[in-house]
Amino acid sequence: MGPGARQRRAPLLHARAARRLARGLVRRTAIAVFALAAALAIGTPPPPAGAAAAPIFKLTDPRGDDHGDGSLIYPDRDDLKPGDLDLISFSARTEGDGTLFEATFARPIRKPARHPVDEGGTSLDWIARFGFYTFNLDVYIDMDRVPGSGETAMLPGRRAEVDSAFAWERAICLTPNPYEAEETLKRFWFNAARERAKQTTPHLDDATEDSLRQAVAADVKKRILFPTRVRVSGSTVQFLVPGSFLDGPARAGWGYVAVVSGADIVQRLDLGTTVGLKKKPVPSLMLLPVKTGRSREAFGGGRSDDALEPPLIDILVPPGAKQETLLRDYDLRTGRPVRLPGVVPARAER
Amino acid sequence: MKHLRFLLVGGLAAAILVFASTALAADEPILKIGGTTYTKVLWGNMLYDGSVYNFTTVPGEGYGDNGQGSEIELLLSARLSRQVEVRGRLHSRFNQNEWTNFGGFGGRNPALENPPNGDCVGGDCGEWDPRSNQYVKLRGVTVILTPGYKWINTATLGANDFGMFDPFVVGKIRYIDRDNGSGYLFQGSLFQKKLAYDVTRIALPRLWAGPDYLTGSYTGGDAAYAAQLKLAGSSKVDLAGIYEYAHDVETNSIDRNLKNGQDSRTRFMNQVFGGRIAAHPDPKIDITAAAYGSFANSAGDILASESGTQYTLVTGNATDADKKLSRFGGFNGYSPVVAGRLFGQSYKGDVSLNDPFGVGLSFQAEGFSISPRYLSIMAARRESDVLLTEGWDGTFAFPGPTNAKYGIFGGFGNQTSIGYGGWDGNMQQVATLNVDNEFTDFDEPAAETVIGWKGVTIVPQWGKGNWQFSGEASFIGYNTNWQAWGDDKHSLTNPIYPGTELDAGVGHNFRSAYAPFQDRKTQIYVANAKTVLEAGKGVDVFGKFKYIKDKDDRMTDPRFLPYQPGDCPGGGVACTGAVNDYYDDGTNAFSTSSIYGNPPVLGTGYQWKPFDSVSDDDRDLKYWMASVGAGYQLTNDLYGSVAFEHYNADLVDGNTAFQAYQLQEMAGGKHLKNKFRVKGRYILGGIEMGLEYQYNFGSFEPDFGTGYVVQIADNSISQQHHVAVGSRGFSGRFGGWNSIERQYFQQQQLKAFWKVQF
Repeated sequence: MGPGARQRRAPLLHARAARRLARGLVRRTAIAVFALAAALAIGTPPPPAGAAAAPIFKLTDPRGDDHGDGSLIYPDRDDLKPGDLDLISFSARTEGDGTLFEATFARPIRKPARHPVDEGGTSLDWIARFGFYTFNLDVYIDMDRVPGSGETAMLPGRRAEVDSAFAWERAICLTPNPYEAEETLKRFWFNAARERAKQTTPHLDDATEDSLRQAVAADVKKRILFPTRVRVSGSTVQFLVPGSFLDGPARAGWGYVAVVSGADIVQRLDLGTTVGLKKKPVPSLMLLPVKTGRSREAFGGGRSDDALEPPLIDILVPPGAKQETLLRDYDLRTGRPVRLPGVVPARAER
Repeated sequence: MKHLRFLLVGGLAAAILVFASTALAADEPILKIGGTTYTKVLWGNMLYDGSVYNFTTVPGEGYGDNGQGSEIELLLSARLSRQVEVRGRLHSRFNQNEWTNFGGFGGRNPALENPPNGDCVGGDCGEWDPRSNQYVKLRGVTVILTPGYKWINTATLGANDFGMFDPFVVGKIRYIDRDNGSGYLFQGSLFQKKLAYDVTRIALPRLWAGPDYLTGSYTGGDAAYAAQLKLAGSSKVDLAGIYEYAHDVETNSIDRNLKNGQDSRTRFMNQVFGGRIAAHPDPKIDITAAAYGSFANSAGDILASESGTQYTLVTGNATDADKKLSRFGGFNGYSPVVAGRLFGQSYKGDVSLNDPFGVGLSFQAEGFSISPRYLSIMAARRESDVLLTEGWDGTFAFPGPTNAKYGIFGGFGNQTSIGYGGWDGNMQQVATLNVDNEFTDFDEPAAETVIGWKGVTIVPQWGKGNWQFSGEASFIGYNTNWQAWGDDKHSLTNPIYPGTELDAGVGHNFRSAYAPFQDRKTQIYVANAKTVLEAGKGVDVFGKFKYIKDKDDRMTDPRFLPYQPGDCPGGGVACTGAVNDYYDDGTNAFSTSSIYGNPPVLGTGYQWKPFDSVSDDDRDLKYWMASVGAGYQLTNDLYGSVAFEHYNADLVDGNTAFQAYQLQEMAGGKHLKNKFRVKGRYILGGIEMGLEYQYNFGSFEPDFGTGYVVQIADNSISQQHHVAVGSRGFSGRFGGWNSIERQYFQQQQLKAFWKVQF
């Protein structure tokens, strides 16, 4: 070795031997990676004590019907393509004292990447922490199966109601920003309740408003769940609903209305209302809207001047019903929105 | 409570009725106003205040880690009819909109200075510079036509980010803003929507879309044309094809007859073909294969005649068949375009197995090969990640230990701008030389070029209960492994490839794709884990381990050694300078002594080690990092996380004979770097606030080998290079200084912002 040479690692092998060594290393490494993955799959952590993952129900939905009322087309974006919001199955099984719901889509669920979403460089994966960002999944549950008992209104912006025969007692909204969605819903409901209260009492004092705010918060907490225990794997998303929300695990005899919409995760302030340009706010909870033509910011194919066209991309339908027919059945003259019937798994699976 | 319950139930029902009736009763407003107001606060201990962005390399632009700045963006949108929508964007300039400008008044007027007093940075030109005078600028106007014909959906005329195309060919265009690009875009579908098309003409950006990052003196007719077809034959198979043609024309100076118009000449031309097939036979399987071919040609004589160009005409080698082609007139050229006429190809194949065994275990595998001559001038420059691999880490994105380029030469201009901590996380890969990280901050993902890369990546992912695991194993080779730029008949300082700072240091210089000598292999292994601990709202816990083995023997053929054997006998005897030519045709002779010159004698030794062994430039990196962190939703509005990262790099990167090409700080030795991060996000009504604080600290223990006389820093070196008088180091071929003392680093930085989108 010359005077300037540093202590080096092992000298270069003969080229052929080096290639053999490299191939062997690649093979061994690949085996090691897969072996590690398989070992992890086999040696899994034990499930929570007392849990038996008993299936409750599984419902299927036709493939290729992710077009809403038949005319909706996906936004012109490279991260939202046909199949991404195409619900093909919806199932539930017990998990501890709660329920693990699972929704499967036709295409692998797109995961939030490290991708700036604004001029300041805020990263998408920092905003959408739960492993998905392109869709919302609403599930409205009729627990008592008493027609007319419960709510028929859906969450803001859905432009649809639940059929009164399946009036719901509990609603689950799987959305990329569950905490923000919950706070936004509280704000919408508080504003609506305050407007209603002002019709009888024009000037509400602070104490009344505070009480109203607390009542709204308690109501949202009781009846609406925004899941935060979420796991995305391939084309499936699982979300845990605690037993305290449904008074135990879900039941196959309940009615379920499940709708998929595009998610809009951007926080917006309604400037029009704030500066008095518009009298009433138009609430929409984390929804990508529908517009005419083709758009990057919204689903296209919408009808112009149609305030009741639902921005719902895929819905579970009971046997014999057709999604497109249901989503076109509204009346602009009377203001009647679409009414969606539920599915009772115990009946559907017979 | 009953009364309140009544109010609630009634209120909710009323809200629905109000919403419905409002929507029916009121026509949608023709003009909508939306936008964003954004304010950024930077703080750091480097005390830079040139702008409210951490990083830039653009000459004349400032950078900073201190300052506060605000901007507003107004989005105007008007739907005139079913067929016509108009949008406009007004946006204040931001990067020197410092609050200390006090409204953007006053300041020095550079137009009145004689001699000029330097660039406008930090808002010091106040009213006299658009970056600091807070005027609102027209950033884009778009007209969207939806004519209602069956064969066309929309025609978008004007500003667009063109993000609907393949990032290997036409990527999202962002130069400061996302839609500074403008053009005509026609989109539609045929054959009952089975075939979708996107056809566009994009005005060629004069700021970067050509050799020398320019498009010449005549730009009005320069454009890139692209056509993309997507065939959805069935739900199981997608086909896509894309063609792009970029044409940069200049006036033809030899046209003497102007009565019939003026002839044009091509300055630069680029064509790219691409095809992609994707198969989804089952929800559990996705298979994608893509191939791209490119052709590019630059007019050597036009380039060589431009003022300040780096390109030269080849004048040597009388028998050189391509003597008309331009080359770089130096060793370290900067350009997004390889000189001359070139063909290149790129290939990529991906297989995804989505939970095939039903146990939550998925796999992704990717093979790729990108030719060193693959060139699409409009390919994605940033904010795209075209490869599956994590690639390198952003904390070591520039050659020097503090992420400085040309740091050995001292002076403010050669100090690091992004700082010791670099960028957060791993780099994102783009298939272009035109990689752009300008006007970014440390918390953003940075991009790196992958021109010349080839390899395989395997990514397993597995989830069970609250646990999620993922990993990566990547084996990367390089199509740029060669000796003497792959062409031993030309001078080493006259290549067709831009060296762009050249690659040395711990990581991968994000914009260096080529080196004169390379024999490189890289392995990357990653393991990630995250879970949610059942406590309160759930504690997010995450951890990562990453290992990189990178070896590059660079010069492997002794015929490229710069001097004859024994040229420098040692013992205080001067080198004789007997040059070793790797090429000599009797007329032209080329030797690596043009870059690896001999050292002067210093006492009984040499100022640096003579380059007399092919192992003098060998690189061998063993690198690992580990991180652990936790996050918690403190309230429904506030989420916070803390993380700690440790980086450990044991690097051999040539000795003093190599000197990191005598341009960069040598980084061979032991690096220990630590990063402590606190992040928060707060939503209040319609306002979003974010914050990230970092404390980076670590050390570097140099090891540059032996064979040279250690020198001592005098007062002049101390002042110029910020080292202690009497500290040890050596002075290199171009006069730069490399310290061999153990160095300690500390960097604190903070970025906070609030943003309202309306």
